[in-house]
Amino acid sequence: MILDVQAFIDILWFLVAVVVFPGFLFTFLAALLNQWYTRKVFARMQNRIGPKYVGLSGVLQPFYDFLKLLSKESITPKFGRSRLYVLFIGIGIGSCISTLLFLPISPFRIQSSFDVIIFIYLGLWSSVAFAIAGLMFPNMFSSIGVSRLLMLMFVFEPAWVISLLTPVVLVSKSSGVLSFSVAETVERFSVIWSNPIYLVLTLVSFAAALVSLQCRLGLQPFDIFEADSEILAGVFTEFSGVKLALASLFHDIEMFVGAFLIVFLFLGGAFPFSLNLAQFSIDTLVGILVIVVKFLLVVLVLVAVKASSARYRIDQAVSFFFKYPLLIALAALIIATIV
Amino acid sequence: MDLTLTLYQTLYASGAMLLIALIVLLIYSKSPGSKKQQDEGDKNEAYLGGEEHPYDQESVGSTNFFWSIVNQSLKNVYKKIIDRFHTYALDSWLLYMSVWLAFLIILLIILVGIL
Repeated sequence: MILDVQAFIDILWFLVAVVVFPGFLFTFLAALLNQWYTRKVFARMQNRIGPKYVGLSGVLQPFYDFLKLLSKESITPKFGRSRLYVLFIGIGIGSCISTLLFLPISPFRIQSSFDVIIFIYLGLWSSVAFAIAGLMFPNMFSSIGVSRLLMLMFVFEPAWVISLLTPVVLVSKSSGVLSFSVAETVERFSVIWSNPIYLVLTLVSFAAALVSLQCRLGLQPFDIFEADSEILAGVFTEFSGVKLALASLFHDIEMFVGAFLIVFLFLGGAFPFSLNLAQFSIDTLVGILVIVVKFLLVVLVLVAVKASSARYRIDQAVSFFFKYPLLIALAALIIATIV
Repeated sequence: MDLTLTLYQTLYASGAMLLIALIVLLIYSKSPGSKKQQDEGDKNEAYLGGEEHPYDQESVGSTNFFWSIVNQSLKNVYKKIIDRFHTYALDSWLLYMSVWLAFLIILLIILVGIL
C-alpha cells in the first residue's frame, strides 16, 4: 500500500513537471518572452525600435501574434498532411521540453547512470521531427529546404552532441565513479573551475556548442534551410495559420531550451551560487537571477552573430563545420577522455 | 549500472515527449483556425511562386546527401590525386591506374584475410 502511494505521488510530480514546471507552461511563457527579448535586441542592433505597442514595451507582442495565428485560416495544400505535421511538431516540442527534466531544477528528475544517452536521444528528435514535419506538404521549395536541413544535420548534430559530452565526461571522471549523469554534471560543476585544463576544454566546447546551436536554430549565417529570397521560405513555405503558429512556437522553444541547456552544462546554472527551489531563501533568489543573466548573455551572443553576418552557401557551411566546430569539439572530447 | 532504473528513466522521458505532443495536438484541434479552410479558388494548390512543378516529383533524393558529404570532405584528396596523376600524359595515367588497382587488390586480400 505504501508503495502504491509512493508511485501515485511520483506520477503526480511527473505530470506537474511535464505540464507546469519546467514543462509545457513554463517553457511556453519563457520561450515567448525570449522571442520578445530576441526581437527587441535584434531591432536595436539594426537601429529599429522592435515590438512596442502590445503590453509594456511590447512584451506581450509574441503572445498576441501566437493567438492571432491560432484564429487565422490554416490552409492545407493538396496532398498535404496537417495532423501528421502537427504530431511531428508536437514530438519536436516534447523532445525539447523533456530534456529539461534531466536538470536539477525539475521537481521530478530523470537521473540515473549514463542518463546522458537518453538526454542525447531526446535532443536529436527535435531536428528530425522538424525535417519530417516539413516533408508533410508537397512543395518544391519545402523539399529543397528539408534537403538542406538534412544535409546540415550531418554536421551540426555531431558537433552539438560532442560538445555537450565534454563537461559530462570531465565531471564524471573527476568524481571517480563513471556515472555520466546530466544532473550530476550541473551539481558538481565547481570541479571544472578547480582545474585549468578542465576549464579550457569546457570553454572550447562551449564555443562549439554555441555555433552548433546557431545552426540548429537556422539563425544567420546558417539560415540556409529557410533562405528568404532564394527558396521562398524553404521548410516554412506551406505553413500558415495554426501550423505557422506551432512552427514558430517550436522554434522559440528550441532556442530557449538550447540556450538554457548551455547555461546549465557549460556555465554551471546558478554557479557560484546554489539553487534549491524547494527551500526559498536569498541564495535561491540570487541563483535564479544569475541563471537569468547568463541566459540573456548567451542569447545576446546568438543574436549579435545573427545581426552581423550574411548567409553561408550550403557547401561553405558544411566545410566550415568540418573544419572548426566539429574538429574542435572532437579534440576537446578526446583530450577530456585522456586527461 | 542499474539497467532497471535506466529503463524507467527512458520510459518517463519518452512518456513526457508523447504527453507534450498530445497537448500540441489538442491545441491544434481546439484552435478556431484549424476548421476554417474553405476550398475555393486555387489556394489549396502548392505555393510555388509562379513556378510549375509536378507533385509526383516532390521528393528528397537521399543519395544526394551522402554524395554531397563525400564530395565536400574528400574534395581535397580528390584534387591532389587529379593534380598528381591527371597530366594528360599516358604514362601518368598508367601509373595512376596501376596504383589504384594495386590498392584495390591489397584491400581485397586484407578483407578476405579478415573474413
